[in-house]
Amino acid sequence: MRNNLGPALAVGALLVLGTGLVLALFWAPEDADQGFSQRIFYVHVPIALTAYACFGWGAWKALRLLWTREARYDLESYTAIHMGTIFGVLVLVTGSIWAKVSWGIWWSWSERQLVLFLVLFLFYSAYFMLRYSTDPGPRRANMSAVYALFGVVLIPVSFLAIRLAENFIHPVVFTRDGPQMAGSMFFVFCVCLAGMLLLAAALYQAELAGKRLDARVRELREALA
Amino acid sequence: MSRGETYVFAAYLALFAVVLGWLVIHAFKIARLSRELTELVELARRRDGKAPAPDAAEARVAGQ
Repeated sequence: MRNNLGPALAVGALLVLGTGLVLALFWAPEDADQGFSQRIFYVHVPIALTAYACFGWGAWKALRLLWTREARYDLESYTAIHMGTIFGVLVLVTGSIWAKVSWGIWWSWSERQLVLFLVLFLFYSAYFMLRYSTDPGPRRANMSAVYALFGVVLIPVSFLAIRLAENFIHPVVFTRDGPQMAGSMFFVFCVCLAGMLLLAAALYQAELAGKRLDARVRELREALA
Repeated sequence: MSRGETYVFAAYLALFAVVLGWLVIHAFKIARLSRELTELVELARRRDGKAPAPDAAEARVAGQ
């Protein structure tokens, strides 16, 4: 049976994210406080939530590996963390751009939200150093899985940091009373979030297929040697 | 272009650049795997004592 999930996700991502970005630029109402620059929100926040989702997905696959001992979960967990790190870079880049235009600075070390996200990002960056410092095999898979599970603890901390902060300049949009924005803005945000999740899923599928193919070629080379 | 528009454009461009960068890296990876597979097919054929037939292999790949 042909696996059409990857192409379907890629087409879905192109359509939904493309629509979302067009709506964000040309249809969403302008923010009274920040003006046009507020439109960075429609990429920055969905990218951040997608990065959390990728790290969470990687941790889930790591848990499955430790639970079932099936080797395939190691590659799936690694690929999800790889994707999470790519989206993590984007969070930092788009966040810095937004900070510069809104606050006049690229970075603020006094902001717990920013620093905790950086800690989370560096933690998962170190995952690759750990992984490639050990020979392939069950030991590396187990160590990587345990590390990925430790990292997932940082996600809720990073997410809730803004609510724990006493004085902050990072805006709070989602409160207990719901999203603090107009209905049309929230609709565009949801479209962008769906598109970004589809993009991450498409990249994950393509990356996973590439890594599996790479592993099979290596096996074939060893078998023929 | 206003200051706000410039920064919004930069943020959207960053997303586009990262996706495009990933695509380029992935394309190089696929090209490398394709090259390695061709080498392995030739190696397997030499082992079987058959002459390499790259045209037939390429035709199979094109037919996928």
